[in-house]
Amino acid sequence: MKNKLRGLRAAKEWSQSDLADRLGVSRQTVNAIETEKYDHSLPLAFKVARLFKMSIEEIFQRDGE
Amino acid sequence: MNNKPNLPEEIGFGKLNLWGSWRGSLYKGGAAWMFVVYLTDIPGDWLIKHHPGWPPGLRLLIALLPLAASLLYVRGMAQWIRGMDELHRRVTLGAFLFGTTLYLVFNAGWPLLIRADVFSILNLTRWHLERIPFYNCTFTICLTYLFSGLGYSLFNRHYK
Repeated sequence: MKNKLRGLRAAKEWSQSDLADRLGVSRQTVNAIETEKYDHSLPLAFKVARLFKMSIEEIFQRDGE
Repeated sequence: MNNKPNLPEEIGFGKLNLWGSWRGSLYKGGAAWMFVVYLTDIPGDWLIKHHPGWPPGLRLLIALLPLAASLLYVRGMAQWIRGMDELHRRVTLGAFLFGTTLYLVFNAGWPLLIRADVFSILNLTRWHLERIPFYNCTFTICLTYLFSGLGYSLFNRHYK
């Protein structure tokens, strides 16, 4: 799954740890999502969308879309 | 606001500093109960063997104490895993499944090796490998934990 998380995080000038704290996950999880090694759950996608005040579709896209 | 998830590293997984992680993780993941198992299992076994005249109720209590502590350890570990974030929960559950399966394979396969007299053929009889106590709580927990740690290292590599 592709995502814009790294860019959105950089725009807010947050480190991976800052974002991890805000999402209640570990820094490794944020890194794994950003590097597209891990397909996270839907509740976490909602959390990310709510945090950046965007829709899930604006942040996450399926491969090939 | 403290919403930091539990990390497997805090209970010694994926760490080389075993002594440091043991000390630090004593109150995490039910590890204190694991030590209760260690402290009651082998001494309890010795007491039961050397005091056959003790009342059956007391003998039963001594025999079941490590088992009760094992169950509390499993409960503590389950609560600890529930407090992890989704990635670590997935990796840790996979690691425990790997560790438990590998332990069962060893447990089931070891008598077959003994029956086939493999240790004599390989000239390993002086190590008394046929006496490995798979029925022992301490040994079971240690070996499963060791195998789970190996599983964690394997599964976690993908997400680093």
